[in-house]
Amino acid sequence: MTLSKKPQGRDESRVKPRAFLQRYGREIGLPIIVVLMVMAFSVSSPVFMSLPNIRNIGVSAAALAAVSFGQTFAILTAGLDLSVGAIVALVSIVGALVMREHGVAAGLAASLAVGAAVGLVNGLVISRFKVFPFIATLAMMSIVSGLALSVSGGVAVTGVPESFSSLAYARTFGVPIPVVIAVAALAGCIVVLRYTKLGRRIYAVGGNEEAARLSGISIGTVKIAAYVLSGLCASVGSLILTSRVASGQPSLGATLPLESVAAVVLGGVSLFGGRGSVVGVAFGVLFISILSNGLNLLNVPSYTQMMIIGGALILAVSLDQIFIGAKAGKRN
Amino acid sequence: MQSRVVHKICLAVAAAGVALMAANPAYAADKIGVSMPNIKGPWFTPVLFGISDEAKKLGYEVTIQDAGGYANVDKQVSQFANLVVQKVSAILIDPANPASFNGAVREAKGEKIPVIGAGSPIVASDVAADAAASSSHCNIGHELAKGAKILLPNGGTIAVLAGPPGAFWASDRLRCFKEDLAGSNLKIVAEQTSEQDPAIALSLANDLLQRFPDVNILYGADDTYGVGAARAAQGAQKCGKVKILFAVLGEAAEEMMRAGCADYVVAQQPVVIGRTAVRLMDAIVKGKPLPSKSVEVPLIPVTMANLNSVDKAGMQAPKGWTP
Repeated sequence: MTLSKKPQGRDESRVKPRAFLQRYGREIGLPIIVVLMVMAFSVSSPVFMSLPNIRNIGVSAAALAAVSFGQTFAILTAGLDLSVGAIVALVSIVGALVMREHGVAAGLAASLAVGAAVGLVNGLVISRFKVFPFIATLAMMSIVSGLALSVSGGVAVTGVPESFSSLAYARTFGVPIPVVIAVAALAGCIVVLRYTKLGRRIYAVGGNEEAARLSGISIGTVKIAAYVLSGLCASVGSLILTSRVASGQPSLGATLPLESVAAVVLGGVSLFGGRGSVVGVAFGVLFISILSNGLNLLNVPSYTQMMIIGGALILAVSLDQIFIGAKAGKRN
Repeated sequence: MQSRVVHKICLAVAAAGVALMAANPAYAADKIGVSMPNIKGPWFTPVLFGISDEAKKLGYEVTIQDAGGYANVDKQVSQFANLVVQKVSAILIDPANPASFNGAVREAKGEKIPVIGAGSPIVASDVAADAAASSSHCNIGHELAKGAKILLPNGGTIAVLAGPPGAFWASDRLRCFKEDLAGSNLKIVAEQTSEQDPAIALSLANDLLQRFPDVNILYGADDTYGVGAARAAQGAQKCGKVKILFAVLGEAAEEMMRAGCADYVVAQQPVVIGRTAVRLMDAIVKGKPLPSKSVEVPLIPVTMANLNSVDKAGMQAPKGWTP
């Protein structure tokens, strides 16, 4: 008996770090990688940790962050929002036109309304007409892009009030305003997901739609709300970008659909829905933004950067799957 | 088994970290930054060759930032800001849209970093460039109009492949092209924008030829569109019957002209533009006087008649050169 117990005790003590990794790997994995990456770039580039560069990373990441937080709602319902880039473009054009004619406040209201309206249409098409989110939002991307180009005539809308365009370059307590806006969006999303009925229902619908339906949750309403929130967050991202480029741009946000999905997946949100946190997504955004900034500082050619970022995404998702597998194995 | 895989992946991550740490720090006193909306294709490659080659001769290290397409204006603004943070000696830029660069260029000027247009006469709509080397897009439009009149002295119809939607260079060319055609017997019957992609340009040109089988000229905003139009004419066995008119003489454009499928090309000299921009930058950085703040590099109309005699060293990068 004694002999059989001793090795078990040694095994347990050896297994502990692995067990810890299996339990918390998904939550702490990305933050650790982000910290390692920051350390690596700090050693490689003397400018990386400079205050202007940190601000620069923050400003570059802010719009992606806002859009990715919105994308999180769609993905948590086991959906996807490919129209976020097009929403950014349309909001940019409408916001710039309204601001030019009626002032900043009216422009902001119009921008948020346009984003929410496109999200509402997405939600209705997906929930009422049972169109797959991928197809519905892909189609909406095309419609909204065309609308942005038609409204603008294919050219930039200039004449945005300076009080708005200067926001992208302004700071409060040394923190760039776009970063403050992104952090506020993060706080809002945390509140919605953690402390409201809607947040819990979004997780429930994404986790098991049938079980959610049987427990009396209105699936359609929850999905519509998720896409409206996605549209609203895309509007916030668009306002940040429009302010930065000081004009309404019909092609703004072209890379955001894929980048936001990448940030959400890197952040540990399951593409099958119902699992993940918006804080993880914030780290996903940081990962992409820091990697891109660091590679630029190291003068890595853009084609190589594309390969590195794609490889990092595969690596992150593979690690995620391994941790899920390890957890499932442990439970079995 | 799983723990082995995790172990291996962790090792790979660590190795990547070490590799990054070992990478050469890209920080030098004489580093110049180049910000482009795109770095591939017969326009940007020779511009970048001109810049890189001339900068090397003058002892500068070059950092090239590629936004990945005209649609990524926001990305180009971020990359420009990256160059400012690196405190490069100067920034050469061809802005995807000058209206978007006012704030970023002001920040560069605040850091006393000269900003030079390389391929564009302006760097921001409200902030003047320290210097610029380019061919005016409007003049390209005028030259294209001249070409249309030479190709069809008795008038006819034109279908336009107008370039990427929202790209100011393409709008400028077409605007000035149309100004010169106004009141003439040349009529534009179709006008379409599309992504700057050879396959999309080819499809679009095919569609235009289907819709307007008797059209006399296909206009291409640059040689991506022009070569697409030429290939469509070739596929429809209409080379010579439908005249193909466009800007920029890359290798593919030259090939199509030799095949008799491209008729009139307004050739820019992107290598010369790149070299000139670097020389202007060098003069500013060294505090030398500039003969002119804005240098307009001449355009060269090319047809089969002068194709063999024109000097292509200023138009094309050496074969196989990549940025």
